[in-house]
Amino acid sequence: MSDLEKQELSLPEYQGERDMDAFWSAAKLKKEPSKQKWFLPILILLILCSVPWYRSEGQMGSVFLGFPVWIWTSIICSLGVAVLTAVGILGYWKDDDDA
Amino acid sequence: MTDSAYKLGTAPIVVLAVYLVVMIAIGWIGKVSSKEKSLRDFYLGGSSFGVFVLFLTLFATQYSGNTMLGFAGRSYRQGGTYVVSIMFMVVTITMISLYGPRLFRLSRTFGYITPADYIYHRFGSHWLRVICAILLCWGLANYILEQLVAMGHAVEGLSGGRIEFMTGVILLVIVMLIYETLGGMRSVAWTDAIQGVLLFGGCSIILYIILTTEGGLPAATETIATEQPDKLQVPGWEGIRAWFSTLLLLMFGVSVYPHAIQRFFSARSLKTLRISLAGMAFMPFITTLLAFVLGFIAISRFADLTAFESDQVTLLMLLAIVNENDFIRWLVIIVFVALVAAIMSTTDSALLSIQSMITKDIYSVYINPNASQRNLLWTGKVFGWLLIAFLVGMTWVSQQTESSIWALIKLKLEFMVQISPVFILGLFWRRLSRVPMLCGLLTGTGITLVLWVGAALGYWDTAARSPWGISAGVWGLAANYTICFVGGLLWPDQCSKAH
Repeated sequence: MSDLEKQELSLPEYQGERDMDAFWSAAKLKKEPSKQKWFLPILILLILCSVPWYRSEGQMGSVFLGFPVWIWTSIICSLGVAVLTAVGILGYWKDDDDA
Repeated sequence: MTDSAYKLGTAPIVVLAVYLVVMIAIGWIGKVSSKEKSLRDFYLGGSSFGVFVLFLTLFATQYSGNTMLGFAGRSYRQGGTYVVSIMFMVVTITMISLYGPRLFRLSRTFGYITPADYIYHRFGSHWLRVICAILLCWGLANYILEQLVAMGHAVEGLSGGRIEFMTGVILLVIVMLIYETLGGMRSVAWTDAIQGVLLFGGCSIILYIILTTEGGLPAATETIATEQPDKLQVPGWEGIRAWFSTLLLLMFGVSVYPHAIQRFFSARSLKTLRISLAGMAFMPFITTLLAFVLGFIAISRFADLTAFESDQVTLLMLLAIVNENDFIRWLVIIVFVALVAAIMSTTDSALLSIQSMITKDIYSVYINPNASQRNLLWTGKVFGWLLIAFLVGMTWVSQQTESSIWALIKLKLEFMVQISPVFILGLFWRRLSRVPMLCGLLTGTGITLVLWVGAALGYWDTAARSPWGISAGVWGLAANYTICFVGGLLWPDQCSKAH
């Protein structure tokens, strides 16, 4: 029997039990993105910068590579959030059963 | 469109037929590979998916026919401000990265099959479990309905009208039911993998077309600046509020899609899940961004399309170039098949998720607690067949009627978003107990429903459904979170007092 098959057979199926001490104990991880102090502030900052509330209404501004700069700003902020998310997931999501 | 489509010849029908046969063959392989007749094996593929399958099934499930058709149409109608679509698809993954680590660990420890397993475990409320299951099933059924309509349009377009709308819907639904019934999540995920590759190929082809025809993006922007400059301008405060409203609705709503959460439970290990999710954070740049650019360029090429016609700008853009040469013709055929694949992969995942919730959260708990695994599996399958038959009927009705009551059926995300505190607060804040959570959920759903029903019955106009430019679901969500916070502070959960 392969390791994968053993794992499949060993996984339980939830039947409605409620041991809340076990629940909260299982909900603790070594490291998680949400617990990093810099994660949420950077996320909120990037989201706020992606919306052009700080620019004048009706303005198109200069065009770069086919799009006005305010559209590029939003795309680059989205890319920033993608990088932040990937860094959070790959670098700051650690657990005991990390394999 | 039909005249142009006929120029595609019979090749698309042959390619579509080959694709459908391959899907059924994969369904059969999925059945042969299943190791036991259990809910975990059927609905979660035995929690055995590696990076390749998990990533592609997440990708194919997250990006539907709506991304390639609906997003491009919205970009055509709205112009530059629909760039918001890229951020909301990225930030959906960010939201999952916040609550996902805890949910994944809990699912491994306690063996959750459905999101409502977690909900009952955390809050211990039958009412909460049933209401959440109903809201999630409603949202998903609605989602399937949208996909069925997209299926009809895609097959009609692909065959140049040779296969009629409803015939196309029924054909694809039958194939989907065959492979899904045979192998459950295993078949769905493996077919998703093929569909994901096709979708990826289709998006790359769209990129090629965008960059190489009629001066590409710069030429389109010049035309739009002259003819419709408002679509290039920074929006006013009303537009900014609508922008934030869209972001909030999508980031909290899409991140609790049950079929996406169940893919968490299907991961072989933490490592596979991490790599797949990190990759997903970048997928909006090859799908949503392209749909946005495609719709944007279409503004310069097609004037005054109606809302219905604009939802087909992707097809119009492709059919406009189909006669350039044989190479382009084949590329267009691949994109059409990718479109069908994207629609099917989302529909099958949503259907499987509904089946699992009805079986595990309702039938096995409240109707037949002593049911065997075999009985549960068959109940889920039969329910799925009946539901899809009903939804195909609704698809036909939707083509025949234009009732304002019909707008109520569009309530999907506005309902599902109300479940987000269950995960976002429930996994982090011990003080949150079942009563404030239930009150918040009912209040949020109630506010949303009242605003929508009032508009549908004509008490106020459609714009008033979104007071101050902010959608009904977001108002409901604000009330929902407020009640949860206040309730958690004033009446903390009993077990949190011990800590």
